[in-house]
Amino acid sequence: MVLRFLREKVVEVEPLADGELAVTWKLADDLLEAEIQMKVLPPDLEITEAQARIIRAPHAACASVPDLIEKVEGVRIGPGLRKIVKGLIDGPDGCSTLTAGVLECCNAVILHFTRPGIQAGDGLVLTEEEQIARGRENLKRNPRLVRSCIAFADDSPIMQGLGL
Amino acid sequence: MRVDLHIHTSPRSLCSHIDPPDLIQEVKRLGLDGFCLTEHQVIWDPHEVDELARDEGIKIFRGNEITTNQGDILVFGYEEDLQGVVPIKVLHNKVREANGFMIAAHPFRGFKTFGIGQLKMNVDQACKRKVFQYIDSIEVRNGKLNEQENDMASQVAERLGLPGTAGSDAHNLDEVGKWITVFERDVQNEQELMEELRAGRFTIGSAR
Repeated sequence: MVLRFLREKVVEVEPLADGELAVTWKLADDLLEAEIQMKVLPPDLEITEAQARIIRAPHAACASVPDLIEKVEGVRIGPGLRKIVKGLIDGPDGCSTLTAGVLECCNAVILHFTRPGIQAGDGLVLTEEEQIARGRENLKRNPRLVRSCIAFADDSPIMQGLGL
Repeated sequence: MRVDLHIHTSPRSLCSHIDPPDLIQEVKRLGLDGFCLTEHQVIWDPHEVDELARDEGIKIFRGNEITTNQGDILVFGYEEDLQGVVPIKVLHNKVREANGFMIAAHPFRGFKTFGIGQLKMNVDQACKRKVFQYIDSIEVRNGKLNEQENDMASQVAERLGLPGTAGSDAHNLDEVGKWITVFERDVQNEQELMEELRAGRFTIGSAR
């Protein structure tokens, strides 16, 4: 027997004239169809509006999605986001599909801000010394990077001599 | 009296690598007079703290870092075991009823990849955060934040007329004491700690 399962998923971030960001998330597969609309207000990245609906689902789970998603209104897209969103709308009384959708919306907002910086660095050809200097500059701007990955481990070239 | 108000230890905070007895020795080596155990969503038993402190000559206070829908809050003087993400209003009402004290922890902490700098946040905008309606103080120096993020917290505290505390938020021994709160008076217990915090009788310092 050959199983066939198709899934389409799209998430978009669109800057609005009033400065807010409109985020749209849509999921459609052979079993499920769902969508989320959110508005996010920079610079605090507060979720000011959030709506969701399950258009088609194989079971009654997540029937409370329209009420559930209201809990994320007022939440800021910032550190600890995953824990906060899961705590608010996941678990036995929550909906894991909605949780995943909301987090994907938030990731899209984060990428909206980080992608230009990443793209700007893509074309640069740096010597090893320049790479180390850039790494140290990053550490200075963001102490949370210390020990966060192998590049910033205690014995890495970037960390050596810094005395952090 | 020099106190690090924000420290996580293992195993109560799963993300911490600090063994409590080692912490005592490090705090003594740094010349601090005390510290506060602020684990994630769990508060130490007072008897265990007494046992830990023994005759070490160090004051150990208990707090709790509670996750709310508006970010992390350091809570003092509140014993109830709260699980999950707590709405800030609910936490505010409970702590107020217990006559406790709430500090907005690292309020402007950014992601590893970007933060308030890239978002071009100004002080007016920062002051409008909902969380500031519900807390008694703002952590204006946190060891995990960069200068810009801590400066923003300082400016917001000043603008809103709230006292600004400091703590290392240490998860490793070598982070302890990076930022500390220096109290004008000797603080003997948690009740006095809250009294001094409420009165704003402290300044900010560092042991490193």
